Amino acid sequence: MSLGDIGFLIQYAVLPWLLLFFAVIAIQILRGDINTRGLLRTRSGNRDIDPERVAILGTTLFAAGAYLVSALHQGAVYVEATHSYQMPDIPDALLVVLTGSNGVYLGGKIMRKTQGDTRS
Amino acid sequence: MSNGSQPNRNPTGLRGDAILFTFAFVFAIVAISAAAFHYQVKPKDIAVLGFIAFSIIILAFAAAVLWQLATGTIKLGGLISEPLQPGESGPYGKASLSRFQFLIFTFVIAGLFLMLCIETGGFVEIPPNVLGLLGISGGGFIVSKAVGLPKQDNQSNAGGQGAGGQGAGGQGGDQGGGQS
Repeated sequence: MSLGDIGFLIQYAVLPWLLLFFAVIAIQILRGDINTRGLLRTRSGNRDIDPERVAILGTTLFAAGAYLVSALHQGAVYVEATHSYQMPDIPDALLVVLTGSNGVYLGGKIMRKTQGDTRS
Repeated sequence: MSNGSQPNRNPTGLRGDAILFTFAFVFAIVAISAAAFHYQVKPKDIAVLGFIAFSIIILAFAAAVLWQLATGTIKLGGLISEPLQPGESGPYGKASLSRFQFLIFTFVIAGLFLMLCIETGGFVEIPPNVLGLLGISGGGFIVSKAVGLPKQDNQSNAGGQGAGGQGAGGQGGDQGGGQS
């Protein structure tokens, strides 16, 4: 048995471990063991759902799903210049959308915090 | 050394089981070395054996962590929760979208990285835009964490206790609990 054979076996042990790790967290979120209370609501004020939170949640799931599907279709990309493989790139437009969505979310959060401080 | 609660200590200050373990360890090393010398084991074989032992230990660590996560010994309840604010009740604070986003992107990129590494048989490079994605998410997480920290009562923390209070808040933010 060579080092390469062991590495071959190890990679097939690490992949199930990672998948099981993700599965444990996903199951705990679905069962409610991991707290998701108030994910779409602000801490103070009314109990309505906040639009910017829905927007960032939708953007996040869309970006993650789109990149996952795209990467699985493309596979590793060979780079001629460095003679190496790299992960597929993310379109700049997707990064801009994510940055804007995060900015709106954080801006709203900071604004609410500032207003709360002013009121108190 | 004359402490009555530690009867196993000898005059040198070492416990008996520690001395026994040290002797057993040294004996095992000498025995393995003698066997390797006797059977003329090649350095490459030693490397393979060491790699197997190292891999088993690392995989045992991974399995132990996974088992404790699955059985609830390691609690994940506050994984995406903010620290408790004053006046809030319950074991965890409100769930945080930025933490959830960071979790999702980390999962996607880590999973893809591993799968592509298996596909190519070596490390794959991570393009700048993917690092930018993690940076945006991580930056949002840090800003959100800073904004979500409970306000410190400066007057009650006067007298040099402010730094300790800040540390406690940060720890609560990591674990999502422990504050009542």
